[in-house]
Amino acid sequence: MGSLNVAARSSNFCEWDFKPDVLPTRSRYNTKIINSNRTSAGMANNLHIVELIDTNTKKKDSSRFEFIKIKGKELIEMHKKLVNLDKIGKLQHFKEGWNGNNGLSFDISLVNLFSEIINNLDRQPDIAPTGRKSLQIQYELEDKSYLGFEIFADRMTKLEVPQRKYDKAIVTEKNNNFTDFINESLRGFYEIR
Amino acid sequence: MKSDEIEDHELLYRVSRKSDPDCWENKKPMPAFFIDSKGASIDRDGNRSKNDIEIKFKNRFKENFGGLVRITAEACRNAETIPQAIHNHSNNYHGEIHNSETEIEIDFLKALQLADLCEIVCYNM
Repeated sequence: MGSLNVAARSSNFCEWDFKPDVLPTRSRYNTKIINSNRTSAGMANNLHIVELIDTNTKKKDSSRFEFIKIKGKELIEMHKKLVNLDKIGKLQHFKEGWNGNNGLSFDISLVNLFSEIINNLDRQPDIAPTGRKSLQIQYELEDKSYLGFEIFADRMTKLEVPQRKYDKAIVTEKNNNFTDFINESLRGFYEIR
Repeated sequence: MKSDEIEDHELLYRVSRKSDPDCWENKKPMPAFFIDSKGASIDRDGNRSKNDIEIKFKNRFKENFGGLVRITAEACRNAETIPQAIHNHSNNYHGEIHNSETEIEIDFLKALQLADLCEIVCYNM
């Protein structure tokens, strides 16, 4: 899981001394954190097992177990990344007209591109598929300032709107280095305010 | 609908099928909700009540009904988009919101404005 310091993958989590904690979210998934507090390795390294639980079916996705080294805000970001990656993975199953209108389907190369970008972002965005083979991602501040990107296979549009003043909107087109460009934009968006 | 001219006061309804993932965040549509490959399909109200229109879409999509929003034609024009009456054989109320007189696909900035300006009629994701 990239920068989230995944230490190992395991299916023998039952050997651990569980102390479950569940983070409720507004999304379809909750994150269940299984602490390893009573193991010396766990105490020393702050290791956890994290899994996604479908809040509708109450079932866990067994492919989602991860040993991770996390604390504080990293946990929230990690959870959002897992949810976002899960959403993107599902795009490959979309069929033409998936939104009830004229939504186009997504091929696997596009899904992989989106996954790679999301996996390497410094902050996790809200994401949504569009009907024209692109992914829309967005960040918002309390003052309603908006930073969004529409990512296509071969280009990306950046939209920044300070405090929802549409006449001050800045639109930028980019043809390469999408991830670096987004991360750089994020630093400006969050740090100058 | 007899008129091909959409008046400012008319309400335009846009529906979405249920999907996972969807185009909503915190029960509000994201700009992606209005971004489609052939402009944004809408239904004109045609003097029908909100309730009648909602029922029509729920009957059409059944368990796949995802959500419904509405926006005035005036708000669309304020966002510099072009609401057009485009009849098709099965729906006399059908229309589309275009980016401009010459471009069909709505750009990101205008889609954001539409998402901000629309009223949520029903959310069922």
